[in-house]
Formats: sequence, C-alpha cells, structure tokens
Amino acid sequence: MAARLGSAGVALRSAAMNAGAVRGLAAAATEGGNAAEARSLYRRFLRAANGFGDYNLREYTKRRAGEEFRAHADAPSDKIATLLTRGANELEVIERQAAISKLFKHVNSVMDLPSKKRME
Amino acid sequence: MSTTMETSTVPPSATVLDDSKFSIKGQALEGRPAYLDFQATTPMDPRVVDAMLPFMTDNFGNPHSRTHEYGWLAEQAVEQARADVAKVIGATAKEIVFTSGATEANNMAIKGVAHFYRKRKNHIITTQTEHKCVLDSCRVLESEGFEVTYLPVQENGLLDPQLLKDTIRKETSIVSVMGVNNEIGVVQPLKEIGEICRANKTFFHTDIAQMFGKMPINADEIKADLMSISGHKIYGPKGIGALYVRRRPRVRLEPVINGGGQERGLRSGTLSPPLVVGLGAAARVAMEEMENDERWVRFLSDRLYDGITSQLDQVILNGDREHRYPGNLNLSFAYVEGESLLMALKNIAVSSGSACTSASLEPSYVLRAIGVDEELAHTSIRFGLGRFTTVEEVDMAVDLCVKHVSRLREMSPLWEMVQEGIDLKSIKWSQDH
Repeated sequence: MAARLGSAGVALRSAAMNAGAVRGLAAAATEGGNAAEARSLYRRFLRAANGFGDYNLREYTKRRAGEEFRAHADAPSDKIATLLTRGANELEVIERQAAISKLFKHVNSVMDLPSKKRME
Repeated sequence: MSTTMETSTVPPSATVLDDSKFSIKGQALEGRPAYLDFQATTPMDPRVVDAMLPFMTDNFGNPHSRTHEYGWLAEQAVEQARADVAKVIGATAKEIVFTSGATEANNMAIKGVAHFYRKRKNHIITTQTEHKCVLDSCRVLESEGFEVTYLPVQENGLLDPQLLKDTIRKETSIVSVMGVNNEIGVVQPLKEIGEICRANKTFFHTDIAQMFGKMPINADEIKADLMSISGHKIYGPKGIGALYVRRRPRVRLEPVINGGGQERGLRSGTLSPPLVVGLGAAARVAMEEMENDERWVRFLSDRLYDGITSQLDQVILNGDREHRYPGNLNLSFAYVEGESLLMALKNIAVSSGSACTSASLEPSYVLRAIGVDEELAHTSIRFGLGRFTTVEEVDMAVDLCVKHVSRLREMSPLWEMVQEGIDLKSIKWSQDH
C-alpha cells in the first residue's frame, strides 16, 4: 500500500471512484483477498474527505467516492488491482489537500449550521 | 486604492474573517452563504491546487529558459498542460495560446483578426448578447473605422442562423458568437454558424468560457477558427485562459501584446507555470468528470426549477428551455422587487446577472435583448450550479425563494391586483394633462 501511495497523483476521481467501488470491489475481490483492502480504502476516503474544512469539498469527495465504488461493484477481478492503485493515488491527493486546508483559517458555511438556522 | 493602504497597516491576522461570525448589512450571520454563482467563478478543485503547488515552490523555473534544467522542467509542464487543454476541444497543442483569461483571448481574437485583414476586409459580425469584452472590443474597432453589425437574438436567446446568412458578406473578416451565454445559459447553434462562416470564407470566433470542460465541444465539428477559454470557470485558477487558433486553414492574427515573442509571437510575456499547470489540470479533470458533472448538474437544476415552480406561480425561465447549459438557471419572479429579494436571500450567494453589471441598478442588457419586460428583468436571479453544489444547498435555495417571494408578494399591492384579475398593463398610472 505504501508503495502504491508513493506514485504520482492521478485525479481525485478515481480515488473518489474507489470509494464508490467499495462494495463492488469488496464483493469482487473476496476470493483474491482484496476485499479488505477495498473496504479499508473506502473508509480512508471518507476519513480524508472529513478532513476538509470546506463543506462543499467534504460533501463532494464523499459523494464521488460512493459513486465510484458503487460503479465498480462488479469490476472483473483482473481490473481490481489497477482500480485500487488508482484509488490510492487519488487518496493521496485528497489527504494532502485536506491537510493543507487545515493550516489556514476557515469560515464555516451556513450548511454547517442546523437546518432551522439556515432558513432565517 | 485607500483599501490597499489600510490593509497594509493592519496586522495580517485581522484581515482574515473571524471564523465563526461576520456580518452583511449589520446582520450577524454564523456561516457564509451557500455558493450558487458558478457562472461568476468556481472554487478550485483540490486536484488542481495539488498540481499547481509544486510550481509555486520547488519548480520555479522560467519555461522559456533553454539553458538549464529549471527551464526544461517548467517547459515540459507547460507543454503537457497545453496538450491537456487542446484535448478537450479536439485540437492539437500547437493551436493553443495561453492568455491571462477569456477577456484577453476575446480581445486578441477579434482585434487580432480585424487588424491583420483590415486591408481587404473591414466588417465584423457579433450578437447583442455577447460578453462585455467582445462588445467593447467591437466598439473600439468601430472607432478605428471598422463596421460592426450587432445581430439581435430571438426571444429564446438564440441567434437565427438565417439572419447571419443574410448579414454576412465578402468584407466580413470575423464572426464572433459565444457558446454558452453567461447570463441566461443558452447554447448557440455553433455548428450552423460555423458552416455559414466557412462557406463564406469568414473566420468564426466563439467565446466558450462557460462551455469549455462542461459540455462536449469539438473545434472541427463546429468549424471554429478561434475559441476563448477561461481557467476559473472550470475549477481552475483565475488569471489564466487560452485562445485556440486554428492552423489548418491557418488563421493569422496581429498580436495585441508585443515583446519577446513567446507563444509563437502571438502573446509575448513569460508564462506563469503554476497558472498554466492549473489550467491544464482543470482541463484534465474536466475531461474525466464531464459526464459525472453533467449528470449531477442536470439533476440539481431540475430539482431547483421544479421545486420553485411547483410552489410559486409566475416564475419565468429566461432563455431557451432546451438549448441550454443546465447549470445556469436565470429566473424572473414576477411582482417581486428584485433588490429586496436578493437582500432577503442572504444565505445563498446568487447574482442578479453577470458580475460586471450586478453592481448597477440597470437591468441586464442580455435580458433586454431577448425582450424581457423591464419589470421582469429587474426581478431576475441567476442560479449557478456546479460540481461542488449539494442537494441540501439546492433544497435550501428552493425553500428560501418560496418563503421570501411569497412574503414579498403578500406585501405587494401589484400582486394583490393581479390576484383580483386586474390587468396591470391597462392601468393608467398618471392622469392625462
């Protein structure tokens, strides 16, 4: 995993995508023993997404992760390694950018407030 | 100017907004509004920022330095970005010229072609609903002696190709028609326009700042000779854009900026690798995400439109219903005072038109050009949806609009009269003398 994380950053998308593929990958990879890896990757995506101070980036990353992992639910087993690598690369980008976003002061969105407050 | 003086004397921490509270017109809010103005600008995608950062720190080389590794590295990154931008529109890298943004690209295309071919051709055609920078460039050319025709558009915001066919002539050097309108979101019939221009041996320029990376577009398919692109409309950085300049058949331009001959002499000045790399990354991500973005934006757009129109009467969608980019919804709320509505909608960041005209009380020239009543033009709001918009934001926007439009209408004597069936147009508001 660490070696994979080291390769250059692809787009967040596959990362996100891998989140989506979680279930599918998990299912497809059961025999290969990749299921745990896929599940773990998806969880790391969600965790990284929550690292964004910005409401919109947080929600987007979670949404795309879910979509992509779902889209690849039925991925053939020979594709899984590639998908996982791509996901890991994108995860790296998200984790890095989320970490950077924490270094600066941040303004909350109204969407971070309880829904009653938003309607004022 | 005085503001820059002030900020320089204030400690930097004080210029940062307090993280929990700030105020608009004296009312304390506890969060910044939901951003629904994606036509004005877009936030940068984290993937774009990630690609840019190394070029602001380690890789600081001048891409035009030919004698050392610093320069080579920067040049390599710039050329990769050029290829990524070209790919989105089905062009080759050599046809892309980087500029400071779509405004510069538009200036460069229109003035450049007009000036280069001025001896043989002195006529330019554009439409009344173009972006200000196109219209203003045309005005300048008019003052230099060129003849410019500003074609009207139909009520749905679209240009009638037949009208162009009738207007185009031997002396027309360039036709400039935008892809997606920045105020009402309609998509012009670019393919038909391109064919008419090609058949008449006239160059076709299109400003696709609002279209690039959001809708599929191909330079050869629409027979465009010049296309303007902007970085910050596609989740990239501000201050960077590009002009596509066709090589076969070749388009020749007189440069607006002269100097060291960078960008094949068309646009001198050292390129900014971080910005160029940002535009390239934004283009690459846009290609990868286009399908997904389009599906998402269409879903949100339908939800917003259906949500509002199912609960409110007399809401008018400006511009054609079919030929449009769904992420731009320009709605007029009849019998509501536009400014009051905008003030009331303080929890969503929307615009009453384009950013350049929203500061003035004048109704938008685009809405006037499509024949929208002045009263309705004053009550129009542009909702801009994008990649990062959420369902919750759209639902909140719907609820807020319904709540405040209903409230303002209840207070309006005009609305009361309309409910009673009085035709407002028939009323004589003043006595004859």
